[in-house]
Amino acid sequence: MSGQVHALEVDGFVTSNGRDDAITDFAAGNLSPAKHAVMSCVIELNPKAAKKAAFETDVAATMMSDIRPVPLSPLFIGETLAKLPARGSHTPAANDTPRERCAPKPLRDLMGGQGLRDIEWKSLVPGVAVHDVLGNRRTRDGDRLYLLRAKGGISMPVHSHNGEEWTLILSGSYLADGRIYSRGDLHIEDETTEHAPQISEGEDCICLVMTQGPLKMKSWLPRIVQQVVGI
Amino acid sequence: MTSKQTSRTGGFAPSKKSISAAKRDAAWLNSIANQQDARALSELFEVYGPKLKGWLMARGVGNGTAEDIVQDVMIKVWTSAHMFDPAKASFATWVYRMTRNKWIDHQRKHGRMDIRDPELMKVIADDEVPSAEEDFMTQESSGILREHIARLTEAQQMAIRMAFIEFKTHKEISAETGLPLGTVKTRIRSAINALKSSMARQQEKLL
Repeated sequence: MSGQVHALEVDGFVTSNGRDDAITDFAAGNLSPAKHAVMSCVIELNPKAAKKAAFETDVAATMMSDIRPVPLSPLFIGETLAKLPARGSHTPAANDTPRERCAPKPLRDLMGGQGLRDIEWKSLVPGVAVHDVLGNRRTRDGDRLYLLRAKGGISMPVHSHNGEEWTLILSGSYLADGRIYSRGDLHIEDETTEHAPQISEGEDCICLVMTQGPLKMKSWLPRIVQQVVGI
Repeated sequence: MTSKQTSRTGGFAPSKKSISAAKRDAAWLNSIANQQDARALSELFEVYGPKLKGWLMARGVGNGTAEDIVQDVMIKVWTSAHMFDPAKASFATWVYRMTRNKWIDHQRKHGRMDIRDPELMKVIADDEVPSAEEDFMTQESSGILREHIARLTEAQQMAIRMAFIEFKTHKEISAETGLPLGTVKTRIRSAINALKSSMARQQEKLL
C-alpha cells in the first residue's frame, strides 16, 4: 500500500477531481436525496469534509436572510401549537448509539435503524454483492443508492457510467487510478471515465454507492446479471 | 455597524443588532427547553417562520407544502430545544439545517415510485438533529459572517448568491451562463475561500 498516493491526503476529502462543489451543493440543499444521503454519511466519517460543510452551511443560513420572507398563514402558529406533543415524552432514538460501527447514522436511519449485519445481499458477479438502500431502485430523478460488498483481492468489472457515480468507502479499501480509497473517502467519477477498482487484499470492501443511470459494463456476464440486480 | 471602531484591526465586531438577536434566540430556546414555554416557540417562529417559508418557496415549493415543512420544523424545535447549544451553532444555522433536511426528506418520499411503510418514513424524517458537523460558528459570532459577505467584491458576492440563493448546482449554472463548468467552480470556490480567510484573519486578531 505504501508508495500509493492516499486519496485523503491529497484532497482532504477526496475525489478523483477535488469536488469541493459537491459540499457547496450539499450545504445549499441542491443535491438529490440520494446524493444528499451519501454526503451526510461522508460528513459523519470525514472530519475535513465535515469542517467544510459546517462553514458552508453557516454561509447558506446567513444568505437565507437575502430571500424575501413569505408570511405564514394566520392560523399557522395556532394550528402548530395545537399539534405539539407533550414534552418529556421525547426519548432519543435507540440507534443513537452505533449498533454497528461500520454504518454511519444517516445510513442506518435510511435502513430503518438497521446496521450492515443482517441485510440481504444480492450477488452481482462472484465476490460482488449489492443491497438496495432505498428499497426500490427507481427514483424520479433516476438516482440509485445501494451498498456494494466486494471480496478482498478481487477486481471489479470494468465499467463506465451514464452519469455520475459517487462511492463512499465504509470498510476495506480499493485501488483505482493509482489511488487508494478507504473508509471515509468519497470517490466521484463521471460519465467520461472508465474504471475497474482493484479491491485490496484481506477485508471485504463495503461501499455506499450512488449512480445515475445504469452502469455500462464492458463484458457480457456482468451485463446480464446487472439487469437482474438492477444497478 | 461598528466598522469604524474596529477598522484599525481590519476585522468586524458583530453588530449590536446581531448580538441582541443571538441573545434573544438563545433566551427563547432556553425557555422552550426548560419551561416548555409555547409562547417563546411562537415568538421564535414569528421571526423565523416567514424566512424558512420564503426559502422553501424560492425553491419552487408550493405554499401548502412549504407550511407543512415549516410546521414539522417548528415541532422539531419544540422537541429538541434541549439539544440546542449556542456555543456550537447559531439558531439560524440549526433551524436552517432542519429545514433543508426536511425538504430533502420530502423530495425523497414524494419522488419515489414506491413509498414504503409510513412509520419507517417517520424514523427517517426524525434523524436530523445531532450533527457530525461540529464546526459551526457560535450563536454570537455568526452575525459577523453577514458583515464579511458584505465586504466581498461584487463578483464574489454574485458567486455566493448563485451558489446559495439561486439554488442551482454548479452544472446548472454552467449550462445557463454558458461559462465553462471549471470557471463556475473556480469563481464560487474563490469567493468562499475569500470569505473563509477574511473570517480567519479576524479570528486571529481576536485571539
